[in-house]
Amino acid sequence: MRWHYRVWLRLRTMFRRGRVESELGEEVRLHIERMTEENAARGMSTEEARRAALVEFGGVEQVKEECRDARGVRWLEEAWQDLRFGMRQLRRAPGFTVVALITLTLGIGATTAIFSVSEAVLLRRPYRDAGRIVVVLERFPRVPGSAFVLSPEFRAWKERSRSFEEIGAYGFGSGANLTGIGEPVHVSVGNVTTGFFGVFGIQPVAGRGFVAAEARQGAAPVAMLSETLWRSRFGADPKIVGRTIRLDSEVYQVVGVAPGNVAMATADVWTPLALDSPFFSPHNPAWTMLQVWGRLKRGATAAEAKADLQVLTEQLNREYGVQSAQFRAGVRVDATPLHEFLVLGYGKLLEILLAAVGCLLLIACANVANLLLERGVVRAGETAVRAALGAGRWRLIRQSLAESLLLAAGGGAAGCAAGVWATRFLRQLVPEWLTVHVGMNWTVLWASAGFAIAALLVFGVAPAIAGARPEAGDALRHAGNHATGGRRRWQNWLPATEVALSLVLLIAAGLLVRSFVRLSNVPLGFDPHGVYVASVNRPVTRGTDPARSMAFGNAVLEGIRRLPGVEAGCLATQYPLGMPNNAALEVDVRGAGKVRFVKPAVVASISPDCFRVLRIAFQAGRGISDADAATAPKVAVVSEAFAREVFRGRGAVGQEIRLPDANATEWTEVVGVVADTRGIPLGEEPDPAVFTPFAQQPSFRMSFLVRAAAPGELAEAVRKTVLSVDRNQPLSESRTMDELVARQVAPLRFRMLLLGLFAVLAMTLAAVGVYGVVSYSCSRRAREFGIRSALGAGRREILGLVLRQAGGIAAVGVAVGLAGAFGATRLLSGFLYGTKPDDAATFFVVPAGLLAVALLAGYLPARRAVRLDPARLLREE
Amino acid sequence: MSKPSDLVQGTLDLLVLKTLGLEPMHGWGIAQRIRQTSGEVLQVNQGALYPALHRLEQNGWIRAKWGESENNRRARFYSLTPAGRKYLEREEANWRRLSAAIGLVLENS
Repeated sequence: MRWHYRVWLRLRTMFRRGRVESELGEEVRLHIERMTEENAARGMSTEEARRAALVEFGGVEQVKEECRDARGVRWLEEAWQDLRFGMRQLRRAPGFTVVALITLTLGIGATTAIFSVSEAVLLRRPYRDAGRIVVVLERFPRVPGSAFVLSPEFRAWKERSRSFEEIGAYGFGSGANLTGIGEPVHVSVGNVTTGFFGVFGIQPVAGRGFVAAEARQGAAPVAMLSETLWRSRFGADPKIVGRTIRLDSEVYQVVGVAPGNVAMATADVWTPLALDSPFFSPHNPAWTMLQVWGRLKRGATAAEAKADLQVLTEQLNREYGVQSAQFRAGVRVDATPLHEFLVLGYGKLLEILLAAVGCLLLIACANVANLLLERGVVRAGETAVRAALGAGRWRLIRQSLAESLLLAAGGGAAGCAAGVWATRFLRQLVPEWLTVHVGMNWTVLWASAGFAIAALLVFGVAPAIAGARPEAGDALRHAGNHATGGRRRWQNWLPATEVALSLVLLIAAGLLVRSFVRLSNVPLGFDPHGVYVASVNRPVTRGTDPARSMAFGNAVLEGIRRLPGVEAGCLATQYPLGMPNNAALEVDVRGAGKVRFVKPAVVASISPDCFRVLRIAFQAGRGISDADAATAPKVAVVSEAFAREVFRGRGAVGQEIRLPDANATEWTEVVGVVADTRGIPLGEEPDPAVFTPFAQQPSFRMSFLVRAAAPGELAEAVRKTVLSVDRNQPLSESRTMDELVARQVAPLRFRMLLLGLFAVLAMTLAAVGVYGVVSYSCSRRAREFGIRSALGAGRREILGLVLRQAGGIAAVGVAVGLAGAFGATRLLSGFLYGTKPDDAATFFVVPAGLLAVALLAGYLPARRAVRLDPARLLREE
Repeated sequence: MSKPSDLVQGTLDLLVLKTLGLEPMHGWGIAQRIRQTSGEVLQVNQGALYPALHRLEQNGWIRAKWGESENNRRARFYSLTPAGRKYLEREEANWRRLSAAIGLVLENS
């Protein structure tokens, strides 16, 4: 009862102030009336009686004030007053308020959103207790850049290492056709050891993981489905465990379903690696390469694990034969914590990103600081007047604090909202094959919001603290003296800094844009527009017979050629941008001995129409024709790069060569030379290529290349055509060549857009900064301009005066920014294509553009300044 | 801020509450009553009275209501709340103990 009565009283005091005040006034008035009457009754005159009463009561206003104090809501009331006062002040300066809010919104929102998304994509992995996961690699001095583990080592580690709670391996995956469940589909198959899921702390969605008994040779085949496949193909069947599936005509029993967040390695179907297979024996000369991860025991460190594995590996080395000992000489084992591994991999990109975030945030803070300091100066006079009228120093500081807090609350809320919204927006741009969860990085959000708001409070309150000094009288005396107000250095330095920082970002973005344009327009050697690609993997059981493979390919090709809108179609085992070329080829040239390529080379078998479909130009000789059948003399067509390296200037056509995998002793005649085509990576010079007739070198893996009016709409028709030839044959790939090109330029495009976004935001903020400073100084110098124009200065001169300030700021900013950019863009060198980090065009065009923007930002207030009527200005002062 | 008061603040509160314990009264009446009952010894400073009343009201010990005074004038009447009565009893006991103790010291030394 009591407490709510008190709350009610307090609320009444606060919100019914008028009523409470008038009651207090009435009470005091009545009291004094009574005293006056009393005094009059004692014989004083009316006048005297009243004066005596007032004296005895003691200052009416003081008493009232004490009563208000006694009500105990005074500080609340004053805070409320301060906030309302701050609100009024902000409303009275809409330009200042809007600019400050926009700056905070952009500064906080954009930086956090962009950083959150990029950081999540690059570094975040959804594993339990991920700090204990390490990536294990072997470095072989004989294979520079090797990043794998050989199978025998893995078995030795798994059996003998004491550092890991769990160690697991992924054997580079393959593909298989899943049949018997609706239409056939091509699935990726990942071979993993029993510990693989345990390392990442991944629990099956249904069923269980693999057990040791299943990871043996000759054990009944078992498989785990990925959650995606389980949902899309099996309708999330809750009774999936125990069912059987057919992969390439082999039957597997499903033991469990793996969740979809195994981002380090993905597969549609998982099968166990048999640890007792010859591949894992140190005495077997054939090994497989594995990717290995381990979960450290509690308390164990990566360094300890590394030393432990190194010892085991050296022990094992002594058991090997001569050949492998040579290969393994000097092997070093690396065990790197997962997060560190990812940071190392993306280190440079992350550094660039952090630098960009830092730049933008600094610019935003500089802008806010600048605005507030300017405002503080403009209000110095007002502050002095209020101090002279008896406003306490603390009260003055509190008032500007209230104003800053209002801005901080508004800007902070808007910034956070913008950040959350922008994160959501950017998340849509993250490719779906990245199975990472992209969410707001709250740490970065709080950090940048805190940073910006701290800047706001410091620079908002500092002028008030300075202005509220007892010697404020000085300020008062000078307050009217606007015309000659002293030059303040920071006034121009802050926007100059902003210009410099934004120039660094703009130049970096400019370099990436140029690289992107270069890479997008690089001559490919073939025409990807209008080409559709579909690939199939014939199951080995059905495709080992070359004649049947050939028959299948021809039948599909026949069907595809009859589809509406198709101009031409062909069949190839390899095509540009299809797969990275990794075979280092050795060619035997008749009469000239063996030639070994340093670079990887393309070896493809193709059907006759391929050069026409891809529009690859002929340089010499002929292409592949129908006459080059299986039984006809062996022929080949080579690329220019191939001819250059193998025949060194001698005519290629008519030469005879032997390729290593053509086991026949027959020589192959080179019948033609075609233009080079680029592959993966797109930025590198074309690899040498050799093409043989598909009829002479059939393969179980083949792609159909189709030139059509609308290649994007062919997928369904081609799939049906393939099914009509073999109802169990799915497509393992189906896309247009334009998509393949886009995928190649995607990483560069991503970096370009990312940095471009930062740069544009930075430039906007810098322009706002210049605009703010120039327009403030215009309003401060209005009187000076008035005098000047009264003395005959034309609009041109005044415009010149203002623009000189803007130009000065921009020039200093650009000069400093250029110096910074020369240093900073070296970070970028690995990300550029065909563009040097100090590319002259970029270093010329971008600063020029930025200067123009800065001058424009100065021109707007300048134009306003010259439009003012000088006579009126002078009268106002 | 110094408060112009002849009485220690706590003492004034106690006197006001005690006076209001008899009947609801307005500010003027409270001052008069304290003066009369103390045999003209305690002069309540008029300026200190009202802040004290407002403070007591804020603490929930007294409650204010507008009414007619003895000569048909409007006045703000203060009355003791149950919480105020309890507080008064406690403070009165404290005061008696304290003054008795001071008396003992003064007599015996």
